[in-house]
Amino acid sequence: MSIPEAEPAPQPETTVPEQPEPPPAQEPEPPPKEASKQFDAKAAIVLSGRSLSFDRVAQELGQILDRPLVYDLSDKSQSPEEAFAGVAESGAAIVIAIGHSAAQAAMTWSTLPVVYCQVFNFKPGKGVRVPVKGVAAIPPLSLQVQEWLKADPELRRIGAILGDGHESLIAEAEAATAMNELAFQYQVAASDRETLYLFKRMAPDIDGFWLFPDNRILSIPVLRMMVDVADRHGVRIAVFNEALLELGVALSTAADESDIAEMAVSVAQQVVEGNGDSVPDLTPLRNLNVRESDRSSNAARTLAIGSHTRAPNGRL
Amino acid sequence: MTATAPLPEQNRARLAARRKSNRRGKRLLINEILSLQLMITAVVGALAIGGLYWGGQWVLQDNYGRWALQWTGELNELGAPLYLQRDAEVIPRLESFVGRYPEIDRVTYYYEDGSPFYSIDSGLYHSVPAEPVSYALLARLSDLVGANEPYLVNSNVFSAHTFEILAPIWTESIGGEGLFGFDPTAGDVPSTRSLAGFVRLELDFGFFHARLLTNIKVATSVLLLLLIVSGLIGRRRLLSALTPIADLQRPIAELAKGNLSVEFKPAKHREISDIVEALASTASALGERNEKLSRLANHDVLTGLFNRRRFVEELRREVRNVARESTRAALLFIDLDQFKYVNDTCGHPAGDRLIRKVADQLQSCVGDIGTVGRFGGDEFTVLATGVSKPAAQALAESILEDLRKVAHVEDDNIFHVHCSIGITMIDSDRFDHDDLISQADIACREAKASGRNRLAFHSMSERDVEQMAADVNWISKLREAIDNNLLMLRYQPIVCIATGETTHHEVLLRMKADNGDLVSPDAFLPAAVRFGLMAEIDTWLIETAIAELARYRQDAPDLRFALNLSANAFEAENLTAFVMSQLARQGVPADCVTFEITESLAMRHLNHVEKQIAGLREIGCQVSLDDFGTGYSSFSYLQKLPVDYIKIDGSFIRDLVRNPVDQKMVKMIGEIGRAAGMKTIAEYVQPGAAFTLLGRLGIDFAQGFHIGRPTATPIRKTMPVPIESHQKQKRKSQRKRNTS
Repeated sequence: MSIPEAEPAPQPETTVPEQPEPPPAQEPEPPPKEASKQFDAKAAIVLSGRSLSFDRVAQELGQILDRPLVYDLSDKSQSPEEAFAGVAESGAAIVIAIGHSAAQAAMTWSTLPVVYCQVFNFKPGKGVRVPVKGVAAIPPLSLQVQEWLKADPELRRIGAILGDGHESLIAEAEAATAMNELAFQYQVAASDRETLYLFKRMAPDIDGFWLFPDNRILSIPVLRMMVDVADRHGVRIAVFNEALLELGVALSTAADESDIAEMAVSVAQQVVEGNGDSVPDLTPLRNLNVRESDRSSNAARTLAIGSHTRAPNGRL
Repeated sequence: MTATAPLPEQNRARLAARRKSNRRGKRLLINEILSLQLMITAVVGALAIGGLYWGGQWVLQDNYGRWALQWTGELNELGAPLYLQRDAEVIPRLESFVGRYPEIDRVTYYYEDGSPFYSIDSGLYHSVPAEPVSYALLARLSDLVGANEPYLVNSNVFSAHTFEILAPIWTESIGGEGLFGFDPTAGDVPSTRSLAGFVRLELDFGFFHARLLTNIKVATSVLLLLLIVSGLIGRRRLLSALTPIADLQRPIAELAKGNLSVEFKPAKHREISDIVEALASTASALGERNEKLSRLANHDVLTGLFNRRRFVEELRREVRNVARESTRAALLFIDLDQFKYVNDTCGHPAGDRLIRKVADQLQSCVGDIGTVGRFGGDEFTVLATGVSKPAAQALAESILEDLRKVAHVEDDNIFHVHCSIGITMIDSDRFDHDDLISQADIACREAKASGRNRLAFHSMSERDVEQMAADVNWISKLREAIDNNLLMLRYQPIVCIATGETTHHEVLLRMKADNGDLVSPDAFLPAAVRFGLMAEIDTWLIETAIAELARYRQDAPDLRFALNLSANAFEAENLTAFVMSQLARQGVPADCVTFEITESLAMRHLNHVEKQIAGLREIGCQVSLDDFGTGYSSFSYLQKLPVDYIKIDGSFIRDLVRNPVDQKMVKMIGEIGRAAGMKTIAEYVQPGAAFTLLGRLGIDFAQGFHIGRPTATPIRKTMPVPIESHQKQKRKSQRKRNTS
């Protein structure tokens, strides 16, 4: 699927599905709300699918970028190869991939530099021919801890279970908790079954549990059982996605879509201008959105009116 | 009144034997019903126990299944570290789990290729079993990954308390977009599943199974006990319920024996009560019918008095009683005087009314003293018991007196009834009932001969005793003669006076005595009439005479016979049919046979005889009125009786030559006969002068010793024709010639 562009759109021509909310990402409302520096190059946005978080990021990107091209890989009317061929012919200078599939496809098919976001377990392969930079999938852990403590001042012990390959994240977590004088323990699991097993044994010893978006070690049934176990042990779970509040978890410290979009555009601009080498492989975010769940009613409530969004500088 | 003629001993013995053989080898109804009841109870009990067993088994298995599945889930989770990373705690946890549930026999974990790598049994013994999961089972288990019911249950039919559960162990991860694209409200979240291995849980619920079996054994014992108790109670109840039926056996047996007075106990149950009522009604109906039959058999239909048969029975009993008790009794033989006159003048219905009135009077007069019976037409008998000779005489006199008072009114005529009574005393069993009846009859005749309306005692002289003995002897001889064909026929010719030629023969009955002499019917026929042998004699006579006629007619085709029949024969309804059948059988023309009936018989049963005469003449036979002229109003009946011949009574012929009155009478009879179109026959013609005179008097035929004595074969003879008759015949022939 493609979003109509201001200039002649690259083929293939696709249609926009009716989706009242969120507003279609294909129809960004110019001008950009805010940009540290005007991005003049043409960019192509490639989405893995039309999930809520992906759509919001795309929408934010649409507000910053000038008539971006939008491709949805879940649209099966064209293959990823055809989609990226269209991107190459469109005159775009860079590809912004949202989601794991989009990032993976961009590594394979794109002839343009790639900036990916909303991807947690991703490492560019060695054979990638184009410059690849990423934006962090989750807000900075120190911010998360601060917000968490605001919501639950009694929090003393935090636990986490991750798949392998997240040593830097673990280090960040240890630093963030140590800075706030919190105890932190973690386990490395290889499967959802092991995650559950480990969580059951960890639950009696922690007050809060950091649920990272490592899909390799999580499944829907295990998530549900973990929520049940946490309920029994009085453990509050902090998640990275507001949608998970529906499962009955306590707190959502999700990334701010506009922050993601701004950071992605910022990284893209530097790459396009030839300053890619000065940009880290994974650029951290600055802000986060906090939402708390009312467990008794299993309905989400926000800590403040509307989105509890905090800018890195503390503004809402 | 109770029943009835008892069954003959033979029949009774036969019935008893049949009853005995019927009872032999037959089952009792009670046992049958009880067996059925017990059988049904046993079947229901067996079904209940079976149901209990299977139900208990089902419940247990269902529970086993639930527990087992729960345990399987727990073991699935407990065993997860075995596949991934070693955890020092996993083994103690498994041991704790297995030790907590004694029903778990063994838990085994397998790799994804089906090879086992860890096993722990109920004794917490760890091992590595050698037997892998088969490929087929592996394939089935692999297909269960992610299924709603991800397990296989294997149970053994012959060992219902043991079974095993096999379940795959798999890992699952959310699809590639991770949790950023996660939407918990979406029904279909992409995920990736990966088979890790299998767990096998072997269970043995033998403890619970044994407990179930124990409970079922107890239930079976209780049920058996209940069966026995219910059988005993049921038998008792059945016996009680069927007792009324058993009680019916005796009265029914009595009923079968003919005892209709048997009583049936009322029953409590409706069904049996209905049977009892039906049996009682049957017995009652049988009693009524027997009473009716008995009444018909023992009583005279017209008067309701004992008939001859029953009276003789009573007499016989009384004779025995007198001999046994040394008492006395009297037998009265009563004959109404001039009853025939009432019958003749006013008809039989009037006679019947008179008989009924006399019977009522006699009954009233005798009362409890004795028994009254009707012996014959106008003959009655009275058996007075416990009476002396004077008392018997007094009774007879009172009867005479009472009957004298009876005035019977018919058609404006008043008839006074008189009777003659013969009395014989019974003081021993020296004479039997037949002797006594004969004695009383003789005494009655003596009374009648003495002037009627009086009584006479039988005085038995030695000669009388001998005579009576001789009479009785005649009866037995007659019986013997009938049985041994000792009766024989004789033939007396009847000639036409005008031509002197024999036209037919009167057939006369004779009996061959022991000494070879032929005995005249006057000697034995009265006894035959009294002892009811006339029907047989008449039959024999008709059969034999027609057969003889057929035989003789082969040589003499114009031979004709005249047969004498008794009143019995004319009372038989089938006389004409019988005669016709005999004629047809022998091939004899009906007009060759003439039947003679005495005037007295014809007058007494006029209507009946009229029909019989008409019937015989209709088939072609001729009828002759015998002994004509002895009755009171012989001439008046000639118009009513369409006979062919009038046979003038011998009393007019015996002294005909010398007695001008007889001559006038004979002449008048001849003239009347001619006027009525009938031929006249004179019998007892002995002197030749009488034969000549009869011709002059206009009589057509003559019969008597002068013409011919009875002979063994019919003899045709021609008599010299009297001159006047010859001249008459010549004139008649001349007139015929002139006319022609």
